[in-house]
Amino acid sequence: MKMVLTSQRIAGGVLVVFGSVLVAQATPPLDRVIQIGLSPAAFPNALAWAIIGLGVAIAILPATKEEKPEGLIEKNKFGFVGVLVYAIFGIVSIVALDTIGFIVVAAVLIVAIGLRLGAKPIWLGVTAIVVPVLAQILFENGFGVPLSHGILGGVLG
Amino acid sequence: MQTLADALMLLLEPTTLIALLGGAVFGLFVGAIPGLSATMATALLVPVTFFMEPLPAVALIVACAAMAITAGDIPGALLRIPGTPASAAYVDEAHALTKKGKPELALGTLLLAAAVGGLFGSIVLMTFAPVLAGVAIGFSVFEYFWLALLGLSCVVLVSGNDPLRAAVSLVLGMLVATVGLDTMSGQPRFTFGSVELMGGVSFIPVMIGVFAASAVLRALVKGPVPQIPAPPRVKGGILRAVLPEFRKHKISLLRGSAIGTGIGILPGVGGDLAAWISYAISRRWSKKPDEFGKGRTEGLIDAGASNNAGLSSAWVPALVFGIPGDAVTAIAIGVLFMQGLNPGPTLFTEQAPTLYAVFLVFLIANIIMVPLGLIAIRLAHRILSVPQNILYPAVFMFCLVGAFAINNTVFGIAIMLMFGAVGYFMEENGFPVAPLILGLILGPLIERTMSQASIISRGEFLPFLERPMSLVLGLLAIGVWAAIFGKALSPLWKKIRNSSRTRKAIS
Repeated sequence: MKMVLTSQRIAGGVLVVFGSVLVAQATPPLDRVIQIGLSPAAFPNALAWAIIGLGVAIAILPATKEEKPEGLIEKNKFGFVGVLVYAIFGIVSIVALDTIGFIVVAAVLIVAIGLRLGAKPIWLGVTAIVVPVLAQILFENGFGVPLSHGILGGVLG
Repeated sequence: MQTLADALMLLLEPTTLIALLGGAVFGLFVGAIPGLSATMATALLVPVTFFMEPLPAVALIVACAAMAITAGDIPGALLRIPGTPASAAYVDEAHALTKKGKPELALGTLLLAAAVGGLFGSIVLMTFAPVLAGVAIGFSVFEYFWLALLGLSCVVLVSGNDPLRAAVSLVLGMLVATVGLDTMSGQPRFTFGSVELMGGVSFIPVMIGVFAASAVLRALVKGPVPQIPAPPRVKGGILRAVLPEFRKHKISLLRGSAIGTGIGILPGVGGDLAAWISYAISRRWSKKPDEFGKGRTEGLIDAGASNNAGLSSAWVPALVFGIPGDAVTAIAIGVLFMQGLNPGPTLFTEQAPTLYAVFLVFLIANIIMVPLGLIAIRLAHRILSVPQNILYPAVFMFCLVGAFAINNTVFGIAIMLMFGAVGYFMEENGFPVAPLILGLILGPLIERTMSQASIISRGEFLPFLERPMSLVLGLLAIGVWAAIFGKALSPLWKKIRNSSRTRKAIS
């Protein structure tokens, strides 16, 4: 009987690999400091084995709903672009937040996300200016969170 | 009596009242927007609660959650887009009334039913939780272990159609909870030499990532967001249309409230299921079941009351045992821990005035729901016309600032972004994300109680079942797992049965 590759089987396989990596490598080889009770590695190990078991079950048991074979699943052509944009935004925000400052980074991200989602430029411009400024005021003055001023340091004081 | 007076004084402090009103308005707005969920609304508010006193923080969360869930009925009734999983149960019924030109009747019925159900659940919470706390004070680690396991098991059983995927989500959450220093031995686990990871993974960035950043990622993947069709304007006297229906269906109101409360109290089950069950029961017991799906208010009263009653009563196991019923209560438990109000029976003795003030917050939140809800119904066409392609960028910005604000480091942002991606890929592949959060919250409780219990029992299993209550809870947990495996294996039985029938037919 030919085994059809479905997203369910792929998901199950990924879980088995992930659980195996946890069991083989990632679970720390911890010594017991206290000789009674559970060892520090016991619970994570049990969870790793549970992931393997569940992955196997997901891969071999029939799907709860009808699934199309992998080749027939309709692909979102722009899906990868979306994930890439998210990753870039993430890296930009982590790297640039301290140096460039919260307001500028947030404004750029708002414009970029808004354009990707088809927002009207006028609304987007207003949102990109008003929302980061309000957030900076609320979190900095209201809650004492030191959001970076960055290149706007001279203006914001 | 003195405790209640102290609680009232705490409640009447301006910061608490402002938080209550602010949370309600925010929840109303976010809940009414299709695609932005009640859980997302609550998750986005958590970083704000970090800087507040315990009572205003809880008031903010409670009011936001109650209002967002009720507001989820607005897009459901007007556009047939359910705002919450619970409102999907009766979305066709409500939309049928809108199509008949009676949106005010649909939304007014749901609003009043929600308020009455919420009040019913709150009163049960106020009376039942202290009694249960009195019983729970005698619980040992064995009972707590089984109770936490039972709560997690129920989450797996009721989360969607596929219990295996829910179990994976739960285990992943528990695995994330093991990151950091082991509380018993002090040894680092999965820290990879990172100082930031020594303290563990904070639940706030995880939650913001899973519930809010993942929604932004989903929007980014889908591309341009189409504008929602213009909803009809709600005209006419809402209360004038609704009150006669409530007089006709008093039993439905009571039944829905009671069923919702009963289901909400079950640890790990939560209120979502309550609306579905209540709607089904309403249809079954109705004198006119044929009229269901065509705009019958009876079903809306049952389900609407049940929905909010379950939301309030889900706080019973959350406050007494620290076991949340659903994702919103899980977030609220995280807020309680953050504020030093560690859930458990001792909370009822050590922090009684604050706790009773929390109970009063529930009552007030459900009362102010009516006037605020009526305003929201009138403004529904305006709220729904706010372009979503402007809201998602704003949500992403609040994700960033919220994740940053916890420790004032970009590490929180990295965690939030990572879990945004995890949440997105999980949901895209049919893995529910709510069990992940429940696993993250309850994982440490399970491990701690299991470790303490194994020390007491000297590594033997029998003492886990020696005490009568632990035996009952243990058997219940085992029963739930049997049901989970039965549910997981049911497609296999079906397949075997079908193939044997086919073989017989051929031969």
